[in-house]
Amino acid sequence: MKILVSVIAYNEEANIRTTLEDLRSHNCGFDTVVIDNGSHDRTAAVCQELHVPVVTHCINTGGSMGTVTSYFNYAYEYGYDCLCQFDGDGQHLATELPSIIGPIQRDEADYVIGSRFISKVGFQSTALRRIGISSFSSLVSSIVGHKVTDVTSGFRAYSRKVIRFFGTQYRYEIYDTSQLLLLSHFAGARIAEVPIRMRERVYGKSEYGLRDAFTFPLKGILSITGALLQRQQIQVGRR
Amino acid sequence: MGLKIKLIAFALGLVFFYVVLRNVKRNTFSPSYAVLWLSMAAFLLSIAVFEPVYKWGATHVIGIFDARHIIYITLIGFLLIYVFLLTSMVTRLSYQVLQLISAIAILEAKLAGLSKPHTGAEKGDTEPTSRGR
Repeated sequence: MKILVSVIAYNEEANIRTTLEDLRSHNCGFDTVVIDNGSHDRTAAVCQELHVPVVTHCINTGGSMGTVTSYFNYAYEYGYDCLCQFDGDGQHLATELPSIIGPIQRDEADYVIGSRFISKVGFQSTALRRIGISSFSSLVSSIVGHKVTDVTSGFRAYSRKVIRFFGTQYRYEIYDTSQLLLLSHFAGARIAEVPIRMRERVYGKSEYGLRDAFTFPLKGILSITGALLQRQQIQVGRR
Repeated sequence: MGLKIKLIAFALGLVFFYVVLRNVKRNTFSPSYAVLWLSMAAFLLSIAVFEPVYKWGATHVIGIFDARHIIYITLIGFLLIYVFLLTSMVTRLSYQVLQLISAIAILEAKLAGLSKPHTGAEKGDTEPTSRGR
């Protein structure tokens, strides 16, 4: 099985080296690519120094969701069977990769979420964000009929089925992790969640600021509504 | 409706017609959007001629007793439709730009000779993949 770990990064000069070295020292047979979302610093240069391929956006395409199109296109282009999103800010641990990839290797799931809130070990995020995540997770769980605890987790893995869906069929912008999960679910992906540990970022700050605390819920609800409205169209396309 | 407002509407209609047609000629206006602007110009021009018809429609069909308001309502309606179409176009363009950025980035990585994702610990220990589209 061809596995790709896609490291997403934006101005992560200070963190990317540690992240890539962590991946290198715990490589269990996967390939790595960095999706650099138009960084102004030396993120891409550091990747090149470490001889890791880097796909550099000529301009920044928004938050982490702006890299999703690129890594799906890349994974589809190179015929990967499994794709894993891995944050370049050092929050994700390479030792947790086998847990995320495992259900796809065993053909038990097509969309695997690494959840911080199952074993509740390691970095748990702020209280305000946890309330938001919990609300959206409950909403998404009720739609997919499967308990999801960390819908916004950036530590995710996708099977070939999901890669093909976003690489060929669904050619629209993806705004939100809830939308991504729901669209995958409607496309026939089996959803699974595994417990993982995360750590707090060492350098820099999160892409989410105070303004996002207000806009995120609204955008999230609209993205979920949009996905629900597209449900039938996606399910027809599956047949 | 007074003569003054009719003349203003007529003059505005003529200006609209001229500007829209000039932009169509220069290819700076897509014909599909020009249609909407031309409709607006036609409406403004028609006010001078068909004012009694609009007045009748405004009072008996819609229930607006001051016929001048029909001008404002119609123009606002046109603008709302136009903004709606622009929102749809911007959304589509936004995704197309995203796809282009993504395609260029992947192509550049290929050209840089780093297209094959890194496997293992050392550089160049694998052959470029032949799989893909």
